[in-house]
Amino acid sequence: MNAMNGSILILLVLFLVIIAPGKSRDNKKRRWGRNTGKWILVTYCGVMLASVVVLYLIPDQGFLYPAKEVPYQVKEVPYQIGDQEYSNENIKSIEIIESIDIDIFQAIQENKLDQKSGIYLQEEKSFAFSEEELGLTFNEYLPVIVKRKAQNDGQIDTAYYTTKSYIRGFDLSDRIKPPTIELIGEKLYVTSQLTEIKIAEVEDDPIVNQFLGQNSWEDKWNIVTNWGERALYLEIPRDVQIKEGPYELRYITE
Amino acid sequence: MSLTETDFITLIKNQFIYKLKAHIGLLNRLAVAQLVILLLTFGRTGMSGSGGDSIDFEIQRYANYLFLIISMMGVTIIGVMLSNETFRNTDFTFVSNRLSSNLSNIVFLLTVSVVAGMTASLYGVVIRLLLYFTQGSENIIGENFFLAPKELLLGIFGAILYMILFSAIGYFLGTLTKSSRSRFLLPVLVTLFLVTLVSLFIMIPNGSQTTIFSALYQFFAHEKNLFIFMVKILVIGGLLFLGSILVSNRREVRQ
Repeated sequence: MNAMNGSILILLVLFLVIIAPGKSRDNKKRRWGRNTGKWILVTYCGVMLASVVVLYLIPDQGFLYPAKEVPYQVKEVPYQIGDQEYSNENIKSIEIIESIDIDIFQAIQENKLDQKSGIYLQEEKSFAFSEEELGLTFNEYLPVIVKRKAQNDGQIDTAYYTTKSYIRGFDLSDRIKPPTIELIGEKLYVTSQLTEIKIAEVEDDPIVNQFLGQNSWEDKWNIVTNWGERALYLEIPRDVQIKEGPYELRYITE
Repeated sequence: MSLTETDFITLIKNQFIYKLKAHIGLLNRLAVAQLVILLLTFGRTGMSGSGGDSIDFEIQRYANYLFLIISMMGVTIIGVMLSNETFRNTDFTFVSNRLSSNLSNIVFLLTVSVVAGMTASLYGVVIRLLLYFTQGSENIIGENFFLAPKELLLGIFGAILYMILFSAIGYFLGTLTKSSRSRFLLPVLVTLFLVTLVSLFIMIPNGSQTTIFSALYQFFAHEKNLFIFMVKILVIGGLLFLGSILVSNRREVRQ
């Protein structure tokens, strides 16, 4: 909701609910019983107070917290709206200055795909394949790493590797859907799926923030993201060739 | 003149209790306004997103400040309404003078402020519960979700103080314009005040403008010491209530 919509909404609700009914209902004969108004208010306040008890019964489990360690460093930069820069020292805005890149190809080449490498297997599939040539089709760019097997076992093994993705410091890698991999005829179709992630954030109570918060205001509209690396790894029978196409192929050498 | 001698404090107390019963509807209207805002917005104040070809990421933000704003405006209007002639007629039920009427109105407004401040602040809790039960903890950022009791009490107390200030402004505006002969002065003044209030709270992110309104805003909203803030509110609110009493006494003499 933008500021203008918020203002209009508030003024409209205020007019319709508080001003427009006027004073008639308060002084003329009441539609409800004498004490109904009182009990509605008491119940309302009671429910509000009871909500506090319920909040304190909620266990602090499963909530999203920023990762303790992230593979990048950030620095404060001037606050910007669009292309315009604002020199307001009270507004903090950050951007990534240095990130640690993990090379999936190198890790496979050196056979270092363990937990410490920071590379995760998200999906693997095998397909029986008896053709001589394999075609690849992607709906978006994806690097492909290919290893030719020592024998013709009539099987294509596929694996989808990723490194961790961080969005505003939250490790949301597990939520990113791997592509669907299908073999139809002599073509391998790799189709990325749309991942929609919606998370909610409760902002500080502005009044509490007035007394306990910091003077600076964090620019939360600028979401710092560090998308992980990803690659499709194929192990193909010794004599199978991969058709040339608009994709990047890197072969593992023995 | 009543044959029964009534103690002044008891008179104010009786008037207040009568007004509370008679005008409980005003408090319920405020509650309905808060509920309407909840139904229309669920406390959502904004959204920011990021993404690529196959990733769509959104952070939806929730806060209680729309409830605080509507409650501030609501108590301002209730303050104006209390100075209205029809509402003042309830005073004739009792043997009263202008002072007891004003003082009972002020006590009523303080009660309204307590209810408005408490409920507006607690909407922060209600929003948290709604989020938890509809979206699940895995989709909620945990950092601000849990409130320490100190924060909760501070929020409620601060909100009540703000409500007192705004009810005093409303009562003063209502009393002041009642003494004027213009029929349009009150709606114009109140509308101006409300629009300015919304602009200040929503449109000025850091109070950097240097208008008189933003200076007033900063005088209260940038005060980080709770005690000084309380003194500011009580002094300014007290002066506004005192001003209302003086203006209404003057009006009685003139009428």
